[in-house]
Amino acid sequence: MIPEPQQEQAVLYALGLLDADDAVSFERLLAADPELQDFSRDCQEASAALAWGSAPMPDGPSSDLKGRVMAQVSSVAGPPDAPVPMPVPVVPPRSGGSKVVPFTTRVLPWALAACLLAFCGVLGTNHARLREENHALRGSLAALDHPPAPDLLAEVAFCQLEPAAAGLPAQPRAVVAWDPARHEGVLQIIQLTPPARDKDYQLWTVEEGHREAVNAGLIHVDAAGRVQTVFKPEVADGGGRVLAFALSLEQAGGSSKNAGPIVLQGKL
Amino acid sequence: MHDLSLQQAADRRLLENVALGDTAAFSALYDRLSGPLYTLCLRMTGEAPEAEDILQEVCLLIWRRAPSYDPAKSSVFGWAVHLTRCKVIDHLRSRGRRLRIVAPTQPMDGEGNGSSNGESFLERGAVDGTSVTDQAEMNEQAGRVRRVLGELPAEQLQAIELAFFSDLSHHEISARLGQPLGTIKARIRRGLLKLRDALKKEQ
Repeated sequence: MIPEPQQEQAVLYALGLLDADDAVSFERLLAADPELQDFSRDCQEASAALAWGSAPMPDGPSSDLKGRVMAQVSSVAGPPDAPVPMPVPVVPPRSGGSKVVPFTTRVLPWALAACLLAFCGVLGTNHARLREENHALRGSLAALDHPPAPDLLAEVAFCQLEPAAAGLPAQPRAVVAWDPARHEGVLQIIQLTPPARDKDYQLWTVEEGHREAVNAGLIHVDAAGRVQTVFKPEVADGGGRVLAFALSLEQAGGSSKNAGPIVLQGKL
Repeated sequence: MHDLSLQQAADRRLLENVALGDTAAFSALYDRLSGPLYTLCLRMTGEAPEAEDILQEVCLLIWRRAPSYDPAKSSVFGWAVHLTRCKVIDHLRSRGRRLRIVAPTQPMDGEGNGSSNGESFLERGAVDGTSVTDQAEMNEQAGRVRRVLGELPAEQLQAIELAFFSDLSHHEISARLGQPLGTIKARIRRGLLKLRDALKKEQ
């Protein structure tokens, strides 16, 4: 039997009435409780059914809307986006109206955005410096009559990971530097809340030719909420082209298949 | 475990094919979902051209996100309704507008049908490409939900409708209805759980 307070949370969650903090807490509870998952799903279905209860409208969508939609879909080259495992969706946090928004909630996202900008600036500076060094080394090698080294940095792709749930007061930010030739990368994160004792963060890659997300290993966060680690997805076939990265919260020790909520995600 | 209705199973199969880039499956899914999703958009925005624009965006979102759909977490319809609500809320907030509710749920007649004078697009059965069987299923589902909603106590119906169709937080609903927050939460919880129980019973 699910306690009444959790029932209430599940109902408010289904209707998008939980604020961002409460929604994240509830998702953690959900991830660990199959009975609550069933209950929450029932609540979501019941709330979706409210759309059927809408008053009948005199007209449906215009008859040419379908033509416009199909034309747009056909104009999109290739199949839909690659599968990125998504958490139970949360309706965008409500504007709050007369509700007083704490100062930190208003300022923190901007402060974090500034930190991210600075972080990207550092990455950009490093990138430019390494390019210069690379260029200089190539010049030196040419002078020594050796064949030039391949431009390694030109092969590296950068991917910014965004929080999967918007509106969190403390937004983690992450960047992946991915080397497709070696099928490995470097992950750097700031402002990531350390997981509970019975949980671990786990990184996943979405790769061409793989229907399921590929395990890229457990991610350990330091007390300051930072991560810097080299990772390599576990694929037997050498791996397909990587399309996206996702960081999820799993049971301690990790999982062979993504089951927990996605915390960060980004497309390459 | 959840038992799937035939319609839910059909929707899931269609979406699986959409995820593989099947435009014919997408066309069929559009026929099944566009009616109720349009009604939802219209009820929340109050303006038909805007509702159509949003529905168009939602359809593209469904196309793009089909591979991310997780059947363990919601039905296809529940997922699509969620995407639609988020889109409407984002859309109107970006224009600095508040959501509005065009009309409350229609009172029921003896058959569980809404009492609109004119035929709705659902009852007309004239949505492009929608089969008569699909139309009948949709009408039945709409009637079932309206019948259940009609049996809810008025104060519970009012609270869950404000929660679902408006942009109000539970604090704002509490202020608007002049009731303590705990009372509003309890009404929403009881109302939605009754709806859940009744719909399960009718399945």
